[in-house]
Amino acid sequence: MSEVQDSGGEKKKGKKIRAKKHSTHIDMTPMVDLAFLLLTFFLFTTTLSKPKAMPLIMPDKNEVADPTKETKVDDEDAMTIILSKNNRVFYYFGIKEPKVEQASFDATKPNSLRKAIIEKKKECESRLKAGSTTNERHKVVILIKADKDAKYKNMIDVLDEMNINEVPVYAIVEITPKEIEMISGL
Amino acid sequence: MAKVKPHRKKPVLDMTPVVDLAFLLVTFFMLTAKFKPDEPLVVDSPKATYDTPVKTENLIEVQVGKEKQVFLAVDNKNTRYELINKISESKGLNLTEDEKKAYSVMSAVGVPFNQLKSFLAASPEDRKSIKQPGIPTDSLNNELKEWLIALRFMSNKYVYAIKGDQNADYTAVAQVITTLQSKELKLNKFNLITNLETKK
Repeated sequence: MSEVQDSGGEKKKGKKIRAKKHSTHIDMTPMVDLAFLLLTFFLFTTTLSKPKAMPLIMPDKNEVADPTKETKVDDEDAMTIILSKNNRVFYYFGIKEPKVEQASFDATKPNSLRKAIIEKKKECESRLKAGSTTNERHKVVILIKADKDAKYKNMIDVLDEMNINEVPVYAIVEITPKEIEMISGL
Repeated sequence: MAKVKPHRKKPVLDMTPVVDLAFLLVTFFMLTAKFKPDEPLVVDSPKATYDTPVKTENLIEVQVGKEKQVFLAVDNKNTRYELINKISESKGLNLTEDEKKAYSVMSAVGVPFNQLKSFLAASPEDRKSIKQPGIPTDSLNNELKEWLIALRFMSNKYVYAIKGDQNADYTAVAQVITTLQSKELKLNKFNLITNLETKK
């Protein structure tokens, strides 16, 4: 591509006055700006909205009729998480004498759900190491229950928490009337 | 003699190749980008740390909206056509060929059986203005189950997923899960669709 380098104005003195030659050079900079703006726009819009999948395996409801197949959970291994309205989350350990406590989804808070899960996990592991339980299967078992006011977002948050903390066994279970009563006062 | 002045030249950079390159990239991204199909239900997926991408091939997506509306999005035009054919037959809807074709080009549909014929008979422009009430999922009138049973009979290659809005009530999603797990369907393994969140 040929270019006119002269700005066209100053010619040597004494020569014929010619019609001013305008430069044919176009400043490409704004065009480059625009092109890269579009480029970045498309780059960002294409990569950011990719949906991801969270696999979920539910226990088969139709086989529970057989009592031998039912999964037994030991009192000391169990942890129950209850979801309620206004993003509130509760948990309690064991089954026999539950002491319900409120937790927070925010991992930076001292009463965060994550901290409770990690502690419970450690406790179960140390028990397994100490040999107080003989069953190899003895690890923390988390039961997730949601009342009728819970939001889907909270359920995903809890399931995500299971993934982050590598909880080996967890299940979504239906809430019992007793538990609804337990959290109603809190 | 006059001094020899150095010839002053403006430093000119030829930008043309840069522009060429930039526009080449722009066109590349424009052509490869798959635009989101026009979805009748806006679902704001919750965020999670899972990063497995969703395989859209043979995906059956049950969408749950903010107001508990349930929509069914079936992948592939041919599957949709086969499905609507079955539903039309089993429910006695007497859909015309045009109405079936109309269903096969739509991404997600959330209309009860009794409104399906009039909905599909409407022109595409009119259809956009009709507010779809969602597919009933309650235990007395579980139409979602009938849709899914029809799909289950067609083939078992489908992958099932639930795409819920983060502000939807969990009970609405639980109803969908119960439907999937019902003894006619026995779908205990499915995916929940989320958006990637940077690790907390």
